[in-house]
Amino acid sequence: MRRLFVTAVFLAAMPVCAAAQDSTAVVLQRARDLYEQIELERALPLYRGVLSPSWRFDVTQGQRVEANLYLGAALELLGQRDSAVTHFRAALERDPFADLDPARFTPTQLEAFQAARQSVFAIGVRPVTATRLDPRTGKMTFAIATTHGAAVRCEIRLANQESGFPIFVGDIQAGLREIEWDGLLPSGQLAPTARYAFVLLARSGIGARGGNTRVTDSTAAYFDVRQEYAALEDTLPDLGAADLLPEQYRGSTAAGDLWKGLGIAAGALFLANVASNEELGSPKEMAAVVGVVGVTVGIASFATRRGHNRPENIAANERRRAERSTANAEVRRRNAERLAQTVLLISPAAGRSN
Amino acid sequence: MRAARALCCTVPIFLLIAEARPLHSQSPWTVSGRLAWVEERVNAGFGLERFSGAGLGLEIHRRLGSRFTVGVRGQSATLTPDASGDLDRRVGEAEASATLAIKPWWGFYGSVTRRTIANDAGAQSWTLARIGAEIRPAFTGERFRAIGRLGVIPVSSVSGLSPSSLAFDGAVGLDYERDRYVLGLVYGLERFAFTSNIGTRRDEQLSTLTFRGGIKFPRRRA
Repeated sequence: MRRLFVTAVFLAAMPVCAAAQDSTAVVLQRARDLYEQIELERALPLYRGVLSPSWRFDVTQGQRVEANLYLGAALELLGQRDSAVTHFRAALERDPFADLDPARFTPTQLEAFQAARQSVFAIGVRPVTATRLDPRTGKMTFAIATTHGAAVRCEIRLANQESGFPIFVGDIQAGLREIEWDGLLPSGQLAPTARYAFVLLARSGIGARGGNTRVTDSTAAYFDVRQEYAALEDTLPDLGAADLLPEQYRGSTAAGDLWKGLGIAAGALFLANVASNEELGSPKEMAAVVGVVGVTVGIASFATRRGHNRPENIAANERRRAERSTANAEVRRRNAERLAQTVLLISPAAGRSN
Repeated sequence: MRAARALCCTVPIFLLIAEARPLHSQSPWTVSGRLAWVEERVNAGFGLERFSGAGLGLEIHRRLGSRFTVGVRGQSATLTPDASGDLDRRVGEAEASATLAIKPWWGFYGSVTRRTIANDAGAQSWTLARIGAEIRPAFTGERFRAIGRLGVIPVSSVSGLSPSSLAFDGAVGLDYERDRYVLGLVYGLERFAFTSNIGTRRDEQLSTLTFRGGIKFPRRRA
């Protein structure tokens, strides 16, 4: 009974194993092994099967490019150059970075590949890799490729804008080329935090002479820039009314002085007339002198203070404003120092390329 | 006697309250000269006698902390009688005083005064202790201050007389302070009612109009 159960499980698993063995990667590996063993006639159907519209499994872009390259290489070895060039072209159209390793392919295959490059115009930009860019010491690179010589213009644009600023304009040869960017805008300022696109615009150096139907092309790679810096300090808030001393005397304050002067006179009269011994009498002149002086000071203070400026308070307020300005200048200086240490965090972003 | 005991109890409490406050490390001294016009009125049962004259004095104050001020004062004056038959009087006095500011504009004061009034015929010694309340509201700008004082003199011991049944003092005036300089003008009044050894009533009243000019040192730190 137990042996029967194990057999049933084995038989049930067999189709899954077979399906896995027939997946694209496995077939491509088997085809590559046959190619390496010069079993070209057996490798060709496998590559063609992968490229066939009726292929049952998913095929990635890279797998399709690989199939075309090896198919073209095999066909070249079999003397079918036109077919070989056609498959090389198909590979290049899908991936302008595609190339044949001179150490592994024959000169005739390389010639056919070069012929395919001349007959198609395609450009590409590698996706941006995440990096930490210190604009003072480093640069980031964009890898671009064209199938043959071309006049190119590389721009950095904000992702939602149609124009940007160029970081490279000129002619380049076929193949891979690296374009550097230091993270600065044309104004010399750091690129602010935003989503950007590296846009490659190219015109074929051969043009229609080589039989190319397409002589211009463009593509883009999107990336996010985020500025990273130490936390900034807030500047001191503006001085409010509660923080400042009154700069003018209020009417009630001046009136208070008048009352104080009158109070001195009243006090003098009280001492001279009420507190003193009636029988002995008192020197009214003394009280009068003090009373007159008190009233005079009260009136003078009232007249000179009411509605007038308070220089000591104005000076004190000026000092407070100056202290605040000095403190804020220090805060701004420290913030500027921190901003000067800013680094850019670059990360790839999704986006539509032309 | 009872009043003297009350004063002996009150003054230490007064000083303790003052010392409970934190003291500043540097308290300014004030040295002032005094020019006073002094008038003494006496009625010892023989009618009003009036003496008046100018006096000079010197006082030194020291502020202890933000609230407490102590000082000493010496003053002398020569008083001439209004009536031609009386003798000139010489008044000399020394005083130790203390002031406790409860708020910047009011507080308490107390002092002990030793006074001698003499003429060519003899001398009379006075010992006074007084306590009272003082207001010192500042005018705008804090340079002028009004002064008002009213207090009692619970200890008034005068040779040849029994203690005064009624004794109080009061003063009113104005202080002006700018930078290190202090000016003041004060009208003061002391009123006493004694009973002599022979049982007759003796009223005395001392009025002064004092002009004070002083300087503070050392210079206060900003």
